[in-house]
Amino acid sequence: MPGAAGTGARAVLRFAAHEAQARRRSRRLTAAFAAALLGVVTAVNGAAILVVMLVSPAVRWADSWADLLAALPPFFIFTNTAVTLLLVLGGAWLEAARLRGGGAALARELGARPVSADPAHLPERQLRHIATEMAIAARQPIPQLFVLDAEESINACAAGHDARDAAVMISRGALERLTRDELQGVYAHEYAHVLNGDIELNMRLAACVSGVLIVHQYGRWLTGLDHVGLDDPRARAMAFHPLRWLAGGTVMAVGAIGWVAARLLQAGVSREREHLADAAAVRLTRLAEGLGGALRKLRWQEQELHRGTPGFPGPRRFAHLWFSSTGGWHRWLSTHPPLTERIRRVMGRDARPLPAPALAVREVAPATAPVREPDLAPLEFTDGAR
Amino acid sequence: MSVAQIIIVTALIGFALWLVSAYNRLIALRGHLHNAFAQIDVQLRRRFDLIPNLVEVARRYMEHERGTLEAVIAARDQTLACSREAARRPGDLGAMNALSGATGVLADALGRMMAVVEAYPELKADAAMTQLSEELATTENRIAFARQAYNDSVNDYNVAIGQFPVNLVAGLFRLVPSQPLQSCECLVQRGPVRVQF
Repeated sequence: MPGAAGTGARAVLRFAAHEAQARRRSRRLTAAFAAALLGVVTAVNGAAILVVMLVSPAVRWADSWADLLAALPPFFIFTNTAVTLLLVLGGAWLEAARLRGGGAALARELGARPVSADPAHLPERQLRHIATEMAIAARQPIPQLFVLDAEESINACAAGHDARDAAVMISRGALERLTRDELQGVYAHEYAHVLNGDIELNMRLAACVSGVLIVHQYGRWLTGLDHVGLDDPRARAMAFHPLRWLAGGTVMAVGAIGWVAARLLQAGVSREREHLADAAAVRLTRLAEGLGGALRKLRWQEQELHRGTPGFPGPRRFAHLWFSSTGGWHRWLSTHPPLTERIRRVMGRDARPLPAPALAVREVAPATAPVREPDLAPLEFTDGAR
Repeated sequence: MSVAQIIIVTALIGFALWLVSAYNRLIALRGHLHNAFAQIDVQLRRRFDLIPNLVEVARRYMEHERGTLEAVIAARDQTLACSREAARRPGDLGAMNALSGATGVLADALGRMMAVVEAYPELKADAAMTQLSEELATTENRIAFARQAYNDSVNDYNVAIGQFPVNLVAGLFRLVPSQPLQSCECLVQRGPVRVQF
């Protein structure tokens, strides 16, 4: 029972240490972003020089680097670099401006619905209660709560700039498939991200990632992969025009370095935070079986429900925000540590996946005996004060 | 003023400043402690108000389990009395122990009752019961977490007033260590309690 453990929750409550850690991490993020920027600029210039080589024999047959550079059109490298920087930094800035609205704004962007103050739906009611319980345990404010109605798999996410404007989103699948203890574990994990100051870093990471990804996405847009109205034959002919494919494919290939950089950024910054949030969740709830059960159900979901498809809703730049975002990706490019490893650390042993069928949906009917708020006097019961 | 005098005056001022800051820190910690206790108190009262509703709903389905229900109500009334006493004197050893004990008895009685509820499928399926069970579950969790938070602040406070040289300040202002809440040590005599249905 919770009363027993002595100093556990306090480790979560000490913010000074976390702040120093967060500063180190954001320095690392800045350095990694600069490196990614350099990579993208180099790739763009390299590709542009290759294109010029195709057209201009003077450049193609240059004997040395110096000759090659001299044969290029005036301000060639300068223009390429400036345009790329403008794109990447502008993209990052735009995304940062969009995220300035805080956790609630992002939640709405992802199509989440706020949980009402007094929900009639039992799982949502439990979620609201759990949020209050955790706030008491951590002695910190309750974040805004959202439900992702469109998401059928088990997932959750925390976003925002600080504990005051934080939002925690829980998927409908999580509400339907998890028991109360498991839901508490998942919520505590997300709340731990809020308490550890991870969410602010994650928001900036999302901005950086969307900047670095911009060249790749421009190429994708050129190919028309994302916006084909396949019903309309004319649009289809346009969409699959070979020139478009050539141009788009080239730009995508150039942007690939940005894509890899974005994945590395997300992996490097956020993966270790997951283990810390798991540990903090167990300390907060004092119950390893809750979070452990949720992780085991995730593993089942990974194996049974979607093989291969990325298991997180919303765009890629937010991949690192989710409770689970495993796909068939290579280990060191993944934003999250493998589930088996997380289960082993949380439960102290290996555990098999746990089937997660949707539990019976329970509504809370209008109560025949209304729950009284604390300040009302009890009914006809003897008052022990005498 | 000679150099020696300046040094002495500076030392005295420094000492006075340290004294004030040490005292203020202890008082702030004691404030946290009282605040943490108030949080438990709010949640306990929530439970006190919940139990009559729960018993009322359960009674409709389990007339034969009257003894179980009466035990719950008796424990509730006892805990209510103890919590009033403890709220008057937070951190007091006797009051805290009495409250811990009464809370333990109540938790046991409630646990027995919820175990009996498992044997009544219609009661378990009752919408009001579903809601009340959830309310009770969250209240029990809140009490547990609030107790933990209280014990943490008691620990912070006790460590602070025990450390040298702050313990001298604590002694000067008669600040005594507080008592954390123990789990389930029944030190309370349960008197006869009138139950009305």
